[in-house]
Amino acid sequence: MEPEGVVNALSRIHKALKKEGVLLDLHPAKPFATVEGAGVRSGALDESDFMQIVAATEAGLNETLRLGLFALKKRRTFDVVERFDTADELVDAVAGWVGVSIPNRVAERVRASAPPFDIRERVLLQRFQVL
Amino acid sequence: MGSIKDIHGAELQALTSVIDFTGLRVLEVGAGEGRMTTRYADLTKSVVAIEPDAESLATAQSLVPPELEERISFRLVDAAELDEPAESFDAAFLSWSL
Repeated sequence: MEPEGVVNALSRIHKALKKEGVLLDLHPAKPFATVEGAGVRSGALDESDFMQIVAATEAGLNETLRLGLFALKKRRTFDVVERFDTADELVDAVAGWVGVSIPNRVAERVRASAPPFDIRERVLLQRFQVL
Repeated sequence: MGSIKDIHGAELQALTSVIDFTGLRVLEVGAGEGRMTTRYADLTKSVVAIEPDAESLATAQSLVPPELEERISFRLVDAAELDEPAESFDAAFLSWSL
């Protein structure tokens, strides 16, 4: 979604929230997600295009702060791990994700690895207050 | 065969560290297949989960356990066309959605 679309959506959400209501935003953040086999890092995904989408979302969120709709109150990052039964399932899943790809060398490393097959992704959680 | 997202439950742990859902009426925006919805709905008063993709919404509805059916309602709508009554929610949750 373009920043203008994000601002439109957040304006509607703002209207639906009570005074002093809370907005929670959870979305992926940099650095790029990593692939692990047997607990050993195989490499990183290429999320260059996806992070442009994230940046557009963040730009829209920032615009709503500038417009005085919300105020940032809390912010924290943490890791989310997705575990796959097989390395092929991991590689196939990434192939279906928008704006994300797995470099060939990383796919080869994880296929040569042993379970568990994980993708570790950094996530940003933000709490905003309605103004 | 398949995958398990957030195998360590980090998302719910993080969410509940920044908000107490008790008694809150929550709007979840972009609920997808309801992966997050059923994890926190039992902590709330109610959840209205909106999702623009009909197939994902149908999956989400089918995965709601009986004990949460009265607490969660789903609507097929995009956030850009949201038209809920003014000041009707205590919290809104954007779950990997905008």
